[in-house]
Amino acid sequence: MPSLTDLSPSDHAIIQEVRGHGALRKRLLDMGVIPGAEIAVVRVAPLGDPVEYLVKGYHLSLRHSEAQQILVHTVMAGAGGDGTAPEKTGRWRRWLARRGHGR
Amino acid sequence: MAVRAGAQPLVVLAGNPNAGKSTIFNALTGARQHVGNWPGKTVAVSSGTAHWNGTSVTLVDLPGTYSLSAHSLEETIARDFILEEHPDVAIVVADATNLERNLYLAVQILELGAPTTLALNMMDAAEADGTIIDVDLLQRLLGIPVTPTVGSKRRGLEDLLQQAIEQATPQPRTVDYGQELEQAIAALQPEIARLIDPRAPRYTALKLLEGDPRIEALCDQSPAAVALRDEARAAAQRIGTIYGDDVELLIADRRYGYVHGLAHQVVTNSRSAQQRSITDRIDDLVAHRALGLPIFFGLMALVFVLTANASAPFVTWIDLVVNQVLAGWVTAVLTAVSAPAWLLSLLVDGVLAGVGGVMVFLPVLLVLYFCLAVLEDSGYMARAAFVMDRLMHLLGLHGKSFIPLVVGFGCNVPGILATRTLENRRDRLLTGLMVPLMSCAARLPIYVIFAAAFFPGNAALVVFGLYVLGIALAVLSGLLFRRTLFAGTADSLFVLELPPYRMPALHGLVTHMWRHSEEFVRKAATLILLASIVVWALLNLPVGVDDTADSLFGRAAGVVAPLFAPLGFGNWEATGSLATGLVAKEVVISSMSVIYLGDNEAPEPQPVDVAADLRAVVVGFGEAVLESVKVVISILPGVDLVSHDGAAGDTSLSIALQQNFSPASAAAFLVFVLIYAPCIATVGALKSEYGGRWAAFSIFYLTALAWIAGLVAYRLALWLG
Repeated sequence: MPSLTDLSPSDHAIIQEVRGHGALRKRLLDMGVIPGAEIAVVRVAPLGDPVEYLVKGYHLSLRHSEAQQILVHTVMAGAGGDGTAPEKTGRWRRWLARRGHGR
Repeated sequence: MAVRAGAQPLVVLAGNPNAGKSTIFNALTGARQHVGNWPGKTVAVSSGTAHWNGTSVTLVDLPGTYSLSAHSLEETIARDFILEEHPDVAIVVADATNLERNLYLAVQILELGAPTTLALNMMDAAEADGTIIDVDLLQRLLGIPVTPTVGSKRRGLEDLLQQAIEQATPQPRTVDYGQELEQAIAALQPEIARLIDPRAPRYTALKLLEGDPRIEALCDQSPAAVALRDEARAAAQRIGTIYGDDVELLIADRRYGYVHGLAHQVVTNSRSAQQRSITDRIDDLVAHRALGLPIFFGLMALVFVLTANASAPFVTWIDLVVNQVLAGWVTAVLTAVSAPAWLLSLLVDGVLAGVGGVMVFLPVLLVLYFCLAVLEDSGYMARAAFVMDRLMHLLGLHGKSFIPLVVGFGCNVPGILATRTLENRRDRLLTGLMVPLMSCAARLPIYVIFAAAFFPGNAALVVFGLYVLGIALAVLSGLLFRRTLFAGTADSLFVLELPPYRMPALHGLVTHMWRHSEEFVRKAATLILLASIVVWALLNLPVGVDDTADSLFGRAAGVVAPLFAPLGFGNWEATGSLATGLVAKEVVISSMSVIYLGDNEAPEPQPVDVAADLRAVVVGFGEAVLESVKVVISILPGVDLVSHDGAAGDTSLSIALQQNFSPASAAAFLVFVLIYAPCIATVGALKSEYGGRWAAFSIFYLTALAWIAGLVAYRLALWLG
């Protein structure tokens, strides 16, 4: 199953599983990152990490290592569907984002 | 600080970070607030008094939290405060623009069993988003009073306070966690009420089932409680097998399901979700891949320029008031009544010179705290963490660690206190040990005076270089500590909310600015005054001492001075001034004034013209305002209203310094001042946050580092000529 880190800006997905344990998992669950919730990628930080997501109607930023714990499903590529809206520069951004994730 | 003042009802404010809790707190308490330690804990909570219709209540502002687990210090404080102080009312401040996640915390606070009311804050922003909330329905569904508020405009606050004071016993509804969990809770509750916590048995049962380490630790007290814990573990295991998920997830899922249902019923949104918000558009710019970092560094530079330049005219003005007008009046009055010379010397050379030298520094702090408050309240600080995290992570730190470090440039004390926003102790400690290397504003006057005296052409460069050196040493120390003291510890979570941008409320900014600056004035008035008088006394004892070198001060400093000979300033004057700097760094300069200039002939009493003096004071203030406005406008590209010819001429202190230091020893002195042991207030903050051993470690580490770096600087300066 793909994780959040496999998505590109303005992709949408449904959370399937939140892995990991202890403080990280508890914090993610408390902030609404729970299975069944919709999540969208908003933007990547200038240095490639962390990445900003939209979940439960607010903006949350997660490091690559944290986003890896979140398994997702139903990738709706760049279609918009809520506040994030389609990016005008989608291709360019996606290219940059891939570079950011390619570690 | 007694949290509960007499019979006044105790009201706590709880809520998510960024929900506008502090804005409501500031609006309700006004100036009647202070930060103090929660008795028995080394944790500061803000408290104040609010009045409604003749009733006074004590209001406590709890740290912002998303939940009530024990995974972060803030959450633990908020939870323990409610459980241990049992407030009369808890006001949960919820952000109306993000009802679901805010209600998630509210239902947990209801589980703690305290009487609760809900403030639906930022209703104006919700309406602007096209969100309509059925307040009456929410009130019925939650079973507690709900008041719509706009904290920044003080709307609804009277009603909120009235609800909090007058409310009848609420009938809160509880989350239904499903048959299996509810059975387990029901089975555990009676024993929990008997053995662990009689007030919040439902909450405690949930936490035991989740396996919350802190609540589990409470069970170690008695064998019966241990049996209870084992029972809870077994139940959790059983439920986990039935659902194929662990209890932690089930509880979060049920709770979110419940608040999602609530929000769904009470919220109607008329606006198309496709619309991009202003926040999105600002973030497109400030978090842009190419522009994000330049914008961040640009903003930091702007804060810096504003702090240094916009305050400068006021610094000159305060100098005029204290050192010329007030000193003139004191001299005139004392001469008129034929007071003894030693009293005149004490007041003018000791008290006025010492405190005046510190007060001139107040405008710098006001501007700095104002800038930081704007960054914080607008929501930009979270973006700064977002943009900086990758770099800070190289040190094993959170992007948020950058914030205490930036605050440390103003004053190390709030910088160290700001580490509390970090979640694990390792991060707090690591950041806290780096903060003293951030060159605080109190060290700036020392740099400025020395740089102007010894490197007049490159003064700005020298000052800037010292700041950069501090940062570089902080980074190196951070890397060193991470590899040695904290080897093998895990990095902290990042997980950061990027809240919507808000226009900062002027009232909040001013409160913030005042509260921090006022602390400094108090310090100046008591601690530093005392230090100035002690130094003056040491300099003038034994009675009748003529040469300062023969005074108690000179003799004591002379004993230590040889230690600094390799650094080029092994004389008692420099050593003594450094010693007084432990009281507060800015005292170094006032001590030097006293030491180098204090033995001048007493000033000839000038005829005093009170009217002319007052006129000069008022006109001087007007000019300072004008000049400061010009500086701010001049920051705009292409505008230059400030005349650059008026570089301050050599003051008498500069001349004295030039006679006593060489450029190389001045450089070594500056490097030493940058690094050596932090001031008493900072040591106090280190001790209260991390314990006495870490404070002591910081003192030794920094002083040793300062000596080595000073030696290197001296040798390097000599070599470069």
